Formats: sequence, structure tokens, C-alpha cells
Amino acid sequence: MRREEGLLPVALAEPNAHGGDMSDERVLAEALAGMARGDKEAMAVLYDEASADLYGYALWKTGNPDDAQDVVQEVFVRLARTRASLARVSKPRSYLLGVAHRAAVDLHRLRRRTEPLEESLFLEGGAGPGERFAAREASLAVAALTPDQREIVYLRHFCDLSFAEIGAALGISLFTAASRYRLAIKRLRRVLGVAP
Amino acid sequence: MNRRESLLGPFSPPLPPRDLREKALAAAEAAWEAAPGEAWVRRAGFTRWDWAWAAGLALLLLGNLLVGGRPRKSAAPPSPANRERAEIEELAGLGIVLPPHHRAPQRLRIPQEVDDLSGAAGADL
Repeated sequence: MRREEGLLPVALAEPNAHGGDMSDERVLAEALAGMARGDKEAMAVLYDEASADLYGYALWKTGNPDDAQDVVQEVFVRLARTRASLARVSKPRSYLLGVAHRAAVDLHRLRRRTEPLEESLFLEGGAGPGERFAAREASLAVAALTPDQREIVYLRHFCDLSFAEIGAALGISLFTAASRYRLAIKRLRRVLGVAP
Repeated sequence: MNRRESLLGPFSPPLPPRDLREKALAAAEAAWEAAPGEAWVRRAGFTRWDWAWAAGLALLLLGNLLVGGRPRKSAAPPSPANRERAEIEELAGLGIVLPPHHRAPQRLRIPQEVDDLSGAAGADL
């Protein structure tokens, strides 16, 4: 696929264009602490703060919108069950994504979907037809990655996690995380026809 | 690659559908209600490690109860002299008197003849 000039700009003004940015660790930590204290309303606050990133991660990991919704639901179920220990979470963003990762893995073991990916579901955006086309092309490129590579790119690009935080969330080493990311970027460049 | 540069353009993953909020919070609330017992655990500040230690201690106690300890030996093992004296006394109780060299040197015991009829009526006949 040839990169059209102007359709896939290389430089971004913001490192994370995702509207549902897990913006404030403090807000997440307070919501988790509230749940630990027995405050049910804190769950709603947590959902509003974290759901966009959790859903985006689950979508990129599973490649299926229904599974992604189930993963998000399961995350909140697991948080509710283990709420007694939530006050001690030191890195809430990384912790929540780790819970989502484990929920996605468990769901995959249960369902083992074999149908092909809907390739245009990973990215959206753009006002005009040109930009929407570019979004679809970028989404197709993401679909060419493996689920493990997609999740690393998502966590690095949209959640702004360090490789150490990614490793902690996914239960892999920092080096494995960095290696997968490097391979993913190499593959994206090849698919998009971008010079390294 | 500079983190500020992106191959993926200014695009974002889709946001979750609106009805997911209600579904997720309803499921979470059901799970919350199903685990009410955690309230006292939270108040006590127990953690999983506390439970693990308690379980280990309980297993140790149970094992000790089941296997049991060795019985205390209140008496000293019998010495050869004590054993011999006990045997002589036992024989004497049966009316068997051993020759003098078999007796224990510490003390002589003359067994009582329980069925001594020498003074009974009719013995002079």
C-alpha cells in the first residue's frame, strides 16, 4: 500500500490522539480507593475515566467489538469482586490494563474465535472523505499485526505506557515488550510503505 | 522512532458504545453484592497473605493433633538390679522362694505363706 502524501501525516501535535485518554492517575487512584472503602459510586467514576482506553485496548487485543464489550464488563466485575485490595494499587492505569489483558486472554481461551477480523474497526476519525479513507487504510495496517503486537502498539501509542509498565501489565519482560513493539512498527512501516 | 511521530495518523480507536456503561456497571454491582463478606475483611485489614499464614498455622496445628506427640517417659528405664528385684518379688508373691544367692542384695524379703494351716483346727490330728 502506498502512502499518499498528506493522508497519513507523520508528525502529530499530541502523542495520544485518543479521546478517552486515561488522563489522570490521581483520579483513577481515588476511584479505586473509593471502591475499596465500599463506595459504589466510585465504580461509575472509574468507568467514565477508564472505559475508553479499556474498550480500545480490548478491541485491539480481541479484534471483535462484542468481545471487547465483554472484556470491559468483566474488568469491572473483577474489580468489584476484589475491591478490598484496590486501595493498595500503586499504578492504577497499568493495573486496570493488566486486568483487561487477563480478562481478554481468558475470554479468548473460552471462545477461540476463528472468523476473520473486521479490518476497519481499529481506527476511526477524520472529517472529510480523504481523512476517513486514510483512517481505513491505517486500520487495515493495524489489522495486519498479530494481537500481541497490536496490544503493545496500543498501550505505547494511546496509553503512553513505558515498556516497563507494559511489561508489568502484560506479565512479560521489558525487553519482550520493546522487541514486540519494534517488530510491530517494522511491520506497520512495511504495510504502509513508509521508509524506516 | 520519536514517540511524537506516528504511523497511525491522528486517528483514534472507536469509543465504547453508550449502552456498555449500564451493562458494565450492572454486572459490577451484581458482583459487588455477591461478595458482601469482604466488608469485615476490609475493616480488619486482612490481606491474602494474612489468610495464607493463618491457613499454614492451622495445618501445622492439625498435623500435630493428628500425628500426636511422643508420650513423656515419666519413669526411668528399669535398671538390671530393679528388674531382678521385681522378678524376685513377683515369684515370692507366688510362694516361690529363690535360693539365697538369687536374692537381691539390698534387702531380704521373706514371703508370707498365705495358706499356712499349721495352726488351724484339726492340724494335730
